[in-house]
Amino acid sequence: MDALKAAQYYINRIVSDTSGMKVLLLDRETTPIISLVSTQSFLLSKETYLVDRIENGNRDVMRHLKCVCFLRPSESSIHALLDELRSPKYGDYYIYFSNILKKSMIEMLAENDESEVVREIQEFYADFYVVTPLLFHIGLSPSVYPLFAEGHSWNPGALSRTVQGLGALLLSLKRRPNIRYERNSAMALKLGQEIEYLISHESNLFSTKSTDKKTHLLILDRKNDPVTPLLTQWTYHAMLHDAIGITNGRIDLSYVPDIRPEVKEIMISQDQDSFFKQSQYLNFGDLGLSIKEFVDTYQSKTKSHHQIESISDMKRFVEAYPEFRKLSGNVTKHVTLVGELSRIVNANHLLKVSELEQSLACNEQHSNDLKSLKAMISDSKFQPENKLRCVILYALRYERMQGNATSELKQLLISSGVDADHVAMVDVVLRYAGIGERQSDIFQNENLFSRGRNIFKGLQGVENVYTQHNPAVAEMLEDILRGRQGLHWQERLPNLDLNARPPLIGNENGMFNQDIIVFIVGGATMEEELAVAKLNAKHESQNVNILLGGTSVHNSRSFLSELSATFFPLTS
Amino acid sequence: MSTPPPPLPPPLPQTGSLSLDTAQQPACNKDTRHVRRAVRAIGPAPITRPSTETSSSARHTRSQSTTPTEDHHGTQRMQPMRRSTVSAGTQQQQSPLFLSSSSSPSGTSLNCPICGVMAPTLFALNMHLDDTHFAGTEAGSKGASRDQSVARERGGAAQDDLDDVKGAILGFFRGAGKAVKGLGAIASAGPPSTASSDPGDDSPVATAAPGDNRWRAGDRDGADRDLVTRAHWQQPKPGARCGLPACSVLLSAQTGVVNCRSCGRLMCSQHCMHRMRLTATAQPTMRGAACRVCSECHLRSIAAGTHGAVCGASRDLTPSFVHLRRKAVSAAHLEGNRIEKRLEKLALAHGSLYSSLPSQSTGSSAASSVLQISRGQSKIQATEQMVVLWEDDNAVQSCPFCHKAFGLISSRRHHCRLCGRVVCHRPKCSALLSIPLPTADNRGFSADRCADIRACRDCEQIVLRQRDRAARSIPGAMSGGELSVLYNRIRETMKNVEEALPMFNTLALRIRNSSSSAPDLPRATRIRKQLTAAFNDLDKLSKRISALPAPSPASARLHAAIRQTVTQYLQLHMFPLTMLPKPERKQQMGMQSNARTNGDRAPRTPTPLRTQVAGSQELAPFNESPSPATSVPSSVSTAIIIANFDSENSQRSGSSDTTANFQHLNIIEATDSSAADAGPEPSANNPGAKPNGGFASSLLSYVIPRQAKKQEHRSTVDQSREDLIRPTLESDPGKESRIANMSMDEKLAILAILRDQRQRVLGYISEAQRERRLEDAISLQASLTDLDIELSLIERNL
Repeated sequence: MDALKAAQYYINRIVSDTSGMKVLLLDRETTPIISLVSTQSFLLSKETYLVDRIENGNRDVMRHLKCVCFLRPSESSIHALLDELRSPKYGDYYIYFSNILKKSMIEMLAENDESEVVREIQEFYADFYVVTPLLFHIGLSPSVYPLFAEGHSWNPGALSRTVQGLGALLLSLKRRPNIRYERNSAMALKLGQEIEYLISHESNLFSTKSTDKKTHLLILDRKNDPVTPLLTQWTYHAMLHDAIGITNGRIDLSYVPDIRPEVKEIMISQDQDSFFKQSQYLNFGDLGLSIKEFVDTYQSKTKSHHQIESISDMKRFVEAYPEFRKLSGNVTKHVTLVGELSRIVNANHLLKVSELEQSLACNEQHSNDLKSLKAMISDSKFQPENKLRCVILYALRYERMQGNATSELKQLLISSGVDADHVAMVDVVLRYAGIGERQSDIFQNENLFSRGRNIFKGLQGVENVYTQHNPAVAEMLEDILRGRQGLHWQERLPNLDLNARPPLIGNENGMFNQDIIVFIVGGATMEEELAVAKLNAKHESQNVNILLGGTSVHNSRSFLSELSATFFPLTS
Repeated sequence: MSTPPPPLPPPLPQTGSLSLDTAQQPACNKDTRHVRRAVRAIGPAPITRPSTETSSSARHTRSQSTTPTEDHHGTQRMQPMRRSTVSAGTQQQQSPLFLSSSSSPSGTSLNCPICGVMAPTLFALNMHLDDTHFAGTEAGSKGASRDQSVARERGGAAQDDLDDVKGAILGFFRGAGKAVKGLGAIASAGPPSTASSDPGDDSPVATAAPGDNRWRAGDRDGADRDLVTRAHWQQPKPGARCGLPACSVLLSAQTGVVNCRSCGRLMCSQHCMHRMRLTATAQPTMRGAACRVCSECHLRSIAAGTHGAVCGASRDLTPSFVHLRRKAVSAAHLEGNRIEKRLEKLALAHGSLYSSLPSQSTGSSAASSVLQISRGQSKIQATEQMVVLWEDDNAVQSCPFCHKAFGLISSRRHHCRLCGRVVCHRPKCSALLSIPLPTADNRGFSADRCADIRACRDCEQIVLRQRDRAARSIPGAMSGGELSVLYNRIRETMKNVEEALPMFNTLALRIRNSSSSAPDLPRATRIRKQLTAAFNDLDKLSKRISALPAPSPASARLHAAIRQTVTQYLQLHMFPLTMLPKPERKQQMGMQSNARTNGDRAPRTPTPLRTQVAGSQELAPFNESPSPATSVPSSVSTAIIIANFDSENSQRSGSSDTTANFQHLNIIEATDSSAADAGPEPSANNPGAKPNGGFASSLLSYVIPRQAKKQEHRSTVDQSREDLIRPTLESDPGKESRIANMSMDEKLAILAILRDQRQRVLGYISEAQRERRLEDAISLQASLTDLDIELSLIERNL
């Protein structure tokens, strides 16, 4: 199960099924989907010489080119395509849709193709965004597809987009999964039902013949683990997303003063960049070492390139030159990124912030936490958003505690100059994912037994103070893989066939030869991706593969911006 | 934890006396900013360091190690053979590509003129001729082969006599026998371990189920039996972590420390539990020794080998679409034809009016002509109304498209001449269509004379679409003219390259692996030459495309993209193109390759090509008397590559694409002309390096003088110059003797390079001074002095 390969397979088909000079037309959503999984040189090598948007009305007429379209079957794209077919600008048209096309749309296209230029129409289900082979998302952003309608319920647009995206992922992997959802989440249930309906409706597409492996789709809800997206991250990929922000594989560094033009916008991709692939899970300290090694190899290579004494040396240089130049570009890129990260870490005192965050997330020490939190709020060297995050974490952990200081801390925040709207987020998060909304004991402070477990864990000691937090998903998955049926909070979708026996997830020995797709309504995080990668490596011998997805990939900023007060109003 | 990247170590201490390298890496030990600057400072172009004593002494030992007798024997024996290869080579260099590119794929099948075997393409036929017939003759009769090839050149296939045919047939059998033997060599190099050749080692493997691809602890694999290289292995050191990014556990005796045989990384034993067959160079293959590999390599090979493993669902909607379209299109066709008919009638009506008007207006007054026209108009109107029934004016109060009410003057009623509806004049609602009128002899319509008729929006669309369809049905309309022709040739050449390249790589690998594979060498050389010529061709074609006139920005982008693709393609396939060893250096190379594997030049992940390239350094034409046949194409290709870089660099530095390409064009044309010069009659002029000619031209000048040298007269001018320079410099005896040992052409070559280098260093100095990088400038200055010394040494020697 590799989301990246699944998407690349389609892209490869799209550009290599037809030979000859081609132009590729994309729409607003397929452009990022394609750019995440392929490169320009790949497209060029497949004779795709021009790439343009279908909405672009003033493209030149080039009859000698073939036109390959990869579009989402959305209203706007279909209309743009109809316009194109009415006055075709290119020779032959090969049209691929990224999702299931409605019958009426096919009819509309057929009626408008009077010049008979369309040679092929196919559905290729690459309708999801691939971040890493283990992580995909549907690309719901608050501006385009707001997630919530009112409280814990789907916005219809977001729901249909999610169903399409998740359905496309299942199709691209050729899976027909058992669907499970978290019992307390209406949104997860709704999504599960819609997926189930889609599968039964398109039953000839979702055939199980091709794969012999059992697949489970676990639909989780972000509200059961609001802590993970609030923490400062310390592994390379996650840090980049957390501190700078990655949108569709691009990192925008143009805000950095006097940055050189070629690194203003940086593309990172695990597929193209072996250094990044090696170091994406490294924590910041190891990253420093690894980048030093990287620069050292680069230097030794430069050195050998300078010893040009004969024609054969020169030849060798010329032969190695493109690789060398690639390497030098890569070195520049990563040195810039790591430099910027360390600047941010120092400027925002993220080490201190993270220490407090981890303590709030993992350990029950009320008086200590409160003391350091108060000190932090009154200290002006910390960023307001970091203060806010810590207060939210505090409010979540000590929500049930008698005499907690949440309201006092909110006052402190306001008096220290944090915007009142932002301070209101404390209550919004509590309403979204307070203890009444959650079902699992993420802080392990609800009963005596879990408290004891917590203390025991504390005795074991921690390897790294900044990365001691383990996301709830990881613990849940670990339980499943080990064969501990930690599924009491999960429910299978009601099966219409009463005689069918519920399929077991694993047995007491653990889970073997099965695949799990975890989908988080409300967004996945990089920390969870790392946890999944670790689990995959750890349980490799069980032949279990886990794939993680979400409606989006969150950092703390995007997580909080999705939960705006309009969806979770104050109920007095 | 979170430390900023640790400081970088200061530059390594220099071993050589002339340290230019330290100069190139100025103080990169402070912080990352410095590193960045260093990265920038180390520009694309290298600076030659004059040879140090170490290298020169190494060269001495090398030349001593080959015993003179062997050397003599080898060269004398190989000389005629190689000569014949040259003549045939130059011939073939042009012929296959010339033919394949000029001839369109026609229906006639191609038969071999000698044995009658059918060949699918001309390229394949050429290959067949080279491989079976020509290889045989060459290897068959050493003395006669040259005469034969000469005869072949002179008379061609028409003069083939019985002897020739017989020799060819014999040669065919010999070639086939060799090919079979060669296959055997490969098979024995990597024996399938299921075969019971080595029962002790392979028994556990043999008993393993075929689907089982996990490695069992304690098994010995290909690397343990020295069948697979270990050169790329990561050396274990304390603190090493598992190479799988997700695991990265600290490696210890407990976790196990294993090198993945394929990628060489250190792994914990849990993640290095897969089994894969590898070649001697640790590349995955179907046959080969079973080895222990990490899960990543295993996954990769699965993904690469069985492409169908990952394939998502898809649904083809084309049939239903075509079915639906058929209805819509037939309706549209009907409508289109009806409109067409009406158009025809209108054109005839207008045409008759036009032809009647001029004849009458010649002798009549202006007033009468106006009358004529108005009369004609009313006549036309009547005919127009006969074509289609006009809608009644009073029935329509507003335009059916824009819904604006009609008035008397500003918004008058118009009739669409094709459907009769009343529409307004606004360009969105109706337009004037120009229709071609019938020719004078009423045989057809021509666009020379046109009439404008009003048509409503709907009818205009139908007419336009009808015309569009007509334009599409004309055979040549969909092709892009010259662009398509050139582009097709590019694709064809690429296809040929892709056909020939695997064969060449196999041959090259075989030559390298086995010590006595001389029979493969000429064939490999030939293929190599064809490939080089094909690459050259590709380059030229793509440059012609990028120089084509671009009517629109999109087509300019198209041309640039094609050019870029070809450049990419060349970089991908031409760089790794293996240098072939010279026969006489063969053995020596075998000895040295072992020593080299541990050196830092050995690549970490050896692809067969890369190691081959590394191995061929020893054999580059610099250190030995080169044969013109092999050196000419290779240096031409080098020149192309460099030219590519030049153009790319200039693109990067901001100048426009086209200028870069033009500059590129010039360089390559220079290459071509020089290659032509290097052909049958080498011209004896054009001695030194062209001033300011850049890398490429200096290489060219290296090629040409060497050709010219054949009938070179040692001029006395050089002698006198030598005397002039000698007193000005203190001499280095070691270097001097080294230079003195070199042959004439080597000296010329070095001279050209050094001059070019000097030019470059001068450029660097001025640049460094401009950017106030003074320490750089100082060290550059030092290297310039070194260069000057070296230059003068050589010049004195000439």
